Amino acid sequence: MVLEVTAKTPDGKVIKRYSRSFMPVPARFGRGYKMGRGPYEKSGLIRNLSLLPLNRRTETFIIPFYEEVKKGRKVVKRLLTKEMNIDVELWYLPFGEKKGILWDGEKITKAFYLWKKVSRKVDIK
Amino acid sequence: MRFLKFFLVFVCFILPLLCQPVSAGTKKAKSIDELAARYDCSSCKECHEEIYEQWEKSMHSRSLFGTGRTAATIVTTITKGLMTWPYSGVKKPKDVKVKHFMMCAKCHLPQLAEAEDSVIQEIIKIAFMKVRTKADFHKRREILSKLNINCLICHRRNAIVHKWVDGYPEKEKGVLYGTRDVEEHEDEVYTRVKKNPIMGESILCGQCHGLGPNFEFDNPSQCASAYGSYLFNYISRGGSETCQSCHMKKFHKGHLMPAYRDIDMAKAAVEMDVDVASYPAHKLAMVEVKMTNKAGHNFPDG
Repeated sequence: MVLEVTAKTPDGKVIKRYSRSFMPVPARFGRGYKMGRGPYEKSGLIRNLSLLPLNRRTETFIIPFYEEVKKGRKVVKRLLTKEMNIDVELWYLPFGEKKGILWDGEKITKAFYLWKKVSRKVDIK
Repeated sequence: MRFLKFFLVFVCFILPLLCQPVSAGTKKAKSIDELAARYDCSSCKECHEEIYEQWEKSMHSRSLFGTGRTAATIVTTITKGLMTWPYSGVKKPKDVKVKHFMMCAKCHLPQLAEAEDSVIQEIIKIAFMKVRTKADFHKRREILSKLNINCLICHRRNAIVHKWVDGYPEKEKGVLYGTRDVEEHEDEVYTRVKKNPIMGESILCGQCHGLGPNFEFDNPSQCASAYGSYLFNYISRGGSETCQSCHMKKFHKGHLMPAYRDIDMAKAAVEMDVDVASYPAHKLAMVEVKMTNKAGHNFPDG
């Protein structure tokens, strides 16, 4: 499960993109810090980053309307836009990225799946 | 003297035969087709058409093929797992025996325990088949889907968890297990249905949908851990639904028992609220995403 937050200018130019993953991280053969891949390697958990039942998880993103640029020896803030469109998308990515196909019982479909999408506008006018 | 002879013959030869479980005399299946025929449930469709059609569309009906990922994982289990481990006894796919594959088959094909090694070899041959065309893909899918989790697994073979309390399904000839007793069940083979006290309980599903590592194997596997998170994260937080109440009853999904790809299940499982705020003085926006997992287990599971 991946949460993607994309900030765009009103004309669609991407300013910032953030992503956070939620999944259980199984231990490889129940030892050490390495993640096991495939049920034949997985035993136990190193971390549980999945969403826990009956639990609310809050993720916060601070998005600047500016970019930092070097001006001589100084770093200055250059305003990119005064208005942003924010897309928040929750993806189910069984292969860990937006690729792969699978059989859904009737046809071959894309493996990745957009779970939820919310769009918001924000400005500093 | 004659009585003593009869007694000895009885004790040495006849008594052991009488004490054997019914299944002990059953020969192991030698081919995919033979195993599939032994677990053929097509006759269920005659009376339970709607349920059967729901099941036909379910992942249970293709537990060995899955979405294609399960079939692919059969291959990697052998090539990246078994063949690379020094003590597995597997150097090449031909060395794989039923005992090696039970770490997958425990849930994907529990009836494999009643098959000879020739069946797993046949499964491997199909799983390793090179898929170049759509026709190859469907051939592989069709053959592997002959073996599945069907009516006879949940309503008979794996229906009972506490066998000392509720009995051994394999010893009960012609019996299925359901939500209620049916004295005369209209079927040629399965003529009676016994009420199964766990048919509507999560523990029935928990047999496969996992606590974590399967410690009963020489080399434990771990696929699902949904039942573990159900017990220790959901019930412990005051949750009270069962697997069946969400995946079968609440959204009228019956024996389809869908998960995340079903739109109703997806909507119900995770709630997402987004708040935005801006700080003009600092030229910053703040986005706060609140996600609430309303499912009865970790999300995602794995």
